[in-house]
Amino acid sequence: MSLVSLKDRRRQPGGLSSWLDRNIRWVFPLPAVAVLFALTILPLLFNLVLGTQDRSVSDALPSRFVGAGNYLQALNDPRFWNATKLMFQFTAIAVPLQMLLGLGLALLLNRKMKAQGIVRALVLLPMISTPVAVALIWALMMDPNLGVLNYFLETLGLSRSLWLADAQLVIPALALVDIWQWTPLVALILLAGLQTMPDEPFEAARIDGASSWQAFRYITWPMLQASLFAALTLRLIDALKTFDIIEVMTQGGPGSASETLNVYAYHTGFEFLRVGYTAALLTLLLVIVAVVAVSVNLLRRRV
Amino acid sequence: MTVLLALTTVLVPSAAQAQTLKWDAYKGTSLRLLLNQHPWTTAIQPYFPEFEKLTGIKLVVETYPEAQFRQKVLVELSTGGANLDAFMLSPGQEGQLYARSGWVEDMDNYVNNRSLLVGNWAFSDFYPSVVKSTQYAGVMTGIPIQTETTMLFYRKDLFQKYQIAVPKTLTQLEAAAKALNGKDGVVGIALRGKGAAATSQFAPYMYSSGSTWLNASGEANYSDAKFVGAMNLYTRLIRNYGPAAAVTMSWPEVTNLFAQGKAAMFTDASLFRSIVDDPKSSTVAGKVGFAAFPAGAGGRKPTVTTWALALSKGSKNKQAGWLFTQWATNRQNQLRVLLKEVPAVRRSVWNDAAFKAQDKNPEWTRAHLSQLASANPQWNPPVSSVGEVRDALGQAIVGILQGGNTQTLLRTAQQATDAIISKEK
Repeated sequence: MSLVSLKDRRRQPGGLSSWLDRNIRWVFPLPAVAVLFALTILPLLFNLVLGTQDRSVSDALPSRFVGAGNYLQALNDPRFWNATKLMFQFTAIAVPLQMLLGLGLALLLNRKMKAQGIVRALVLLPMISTPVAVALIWALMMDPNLGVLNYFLETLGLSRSLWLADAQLVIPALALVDIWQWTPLVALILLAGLQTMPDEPFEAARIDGASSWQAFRYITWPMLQASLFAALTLRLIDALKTFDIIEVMTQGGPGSASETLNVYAYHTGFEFLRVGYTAALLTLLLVIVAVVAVSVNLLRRRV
Repeated sequence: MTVLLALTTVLVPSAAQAQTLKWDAYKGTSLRLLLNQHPWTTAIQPYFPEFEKLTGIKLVVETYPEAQFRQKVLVELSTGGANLDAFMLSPGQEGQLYARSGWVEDMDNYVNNRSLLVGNWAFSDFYPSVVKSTQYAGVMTGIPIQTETTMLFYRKDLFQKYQIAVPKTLTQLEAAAKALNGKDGVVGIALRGKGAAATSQFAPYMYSSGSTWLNASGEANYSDAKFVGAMNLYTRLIRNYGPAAAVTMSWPEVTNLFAQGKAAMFTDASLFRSIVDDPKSSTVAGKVGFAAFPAGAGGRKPTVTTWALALSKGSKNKQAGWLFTQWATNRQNQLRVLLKEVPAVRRSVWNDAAFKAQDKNPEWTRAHLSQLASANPQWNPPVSSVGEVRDALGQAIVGILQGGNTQTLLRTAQQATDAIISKEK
């Protein structure tokens, strides 16, 4: 289409194309809005409605409107509080360590080295593995009777550990797997941040005689803030709602010692078939994750 | 069902000379089947083309691993089940819910209706305890296709070496576990300790101790002295003579431990012979002994687990589905699956010369068959919310194994269970 014909069209009053021209900023996002509505907003609204009912999958079990009943029940459910506590415990162990290790890894990878491509590919391997496969392998390694981790502990002269069977140890053990799998993602984001930094400030610092620690503290660190917060937000949201590795490795056990909120909701939904209560639990999870994500973003603006 | 009943009424007067159904009566129909990835499916599926040729019915088959399979069936049935014709069903797990929800056809209306039978199907050939295991809330939820009972697996070599007799009672079982624990690097006995998964394997200990899941008024029976005694025995066996980390063990872990030569005994489903006695997967293959479940104060009461073929109530092709069910459970096909080591549900095929000639382990066959008469089909509490009740009791089992007080934990589980049951009424 030539420029002239475009101009001609614009001059014509009325007609579909002129209407399109005037409202193009609404028309273009329309398909995206429709998809968002069908796949996210509608299910969310349905979830909110379900949360107000005591409902099961079968008509043989009760189904009635309970208003805020499911939410009140959750607040009085010791298992809900236990699950919420475990969710935060898991996140509090996994995410800070991931950030720290990820930063170290990114700084290492940022250096010039031989076979850089291969090293980077190897480091990123855990991240691209299927979580279920990762969980199965780790569960095998952590098996207290047949697993290889206890073999190493014994070789090192340490005593055997129960790993996932120990109610005190199960959350740190699961966090270990999460750290193994997701540290590379943090490293990747931070590495991208490091590589976009201009060389000039570093050259100037070198000329001024700054040590490498000073260069890191006063140049790298402030310039890395945006990447750090991006990685932190991503990992916080993901860690809070971790499901796959926990369900595969422990199903929330032993007992309910590793039953985080997401896992508990899965059990109330797919095993206990209490659809309404599950909807309420998941709404609460959504609120908690949203509050955390928004807080981190507020913090980022203040820093 | 009303249509079917009406049909029955019309046909009853002439039942004596009723023309039996023909295999090709539903030619051109297409049947959708949902099957679990189970040894039975593996054994029978290669013969499906025979059925298609015989009947002119096309089979559209989907198979899934067990957890996904159960969810898939549940979702389809709870939304009407109109596109689903026949599917595998584990009555002890889902029977009560499916029957009370009205999701499955009552097979009673089919097996007793001569006008719907093809050839000499002979339902009387099925083991009565296995047939009973499909009945929930007055509905026969499916036709059995394979069955398992709880039995005792033991290491023959160790029992011989330390001159220990194979336990016939639960008291002897504990004595044997004590005597062998720590010998040659094995634990005395391996049992499931993983919460909900442990409840079904606790069931035979409960029945054999003379207790039941529910009391006469339909409430949880967990404070019954015999129930508590059985729970004490089960958890004591694990704590004193069992493996570390039993609280994470379900059947894959238990059979794996035994297959790795690290346990002297275990009690679990008879089907697991295929894992622990197979040279490819087991270091103790050939040394495994099989015995009937030990008797307790209440007698010898193992449980029997069944997989059945069920028809969806919403299906539009019930008659064709029933043809498939008859075909899949006829004598020839039961023999075929038995020859592939899937425990059959028809009495006659176990006596078939072809099976006797290839029976590698008559000891297992004897132990398995000797139990079917006394076996109890309710390996789960007979409630609709099986998962939730199993979880409540499972939490108590894990608590006890971690050193908690049996009676306190059982009381908590009882309250939880009663709350769940009271909602179902």
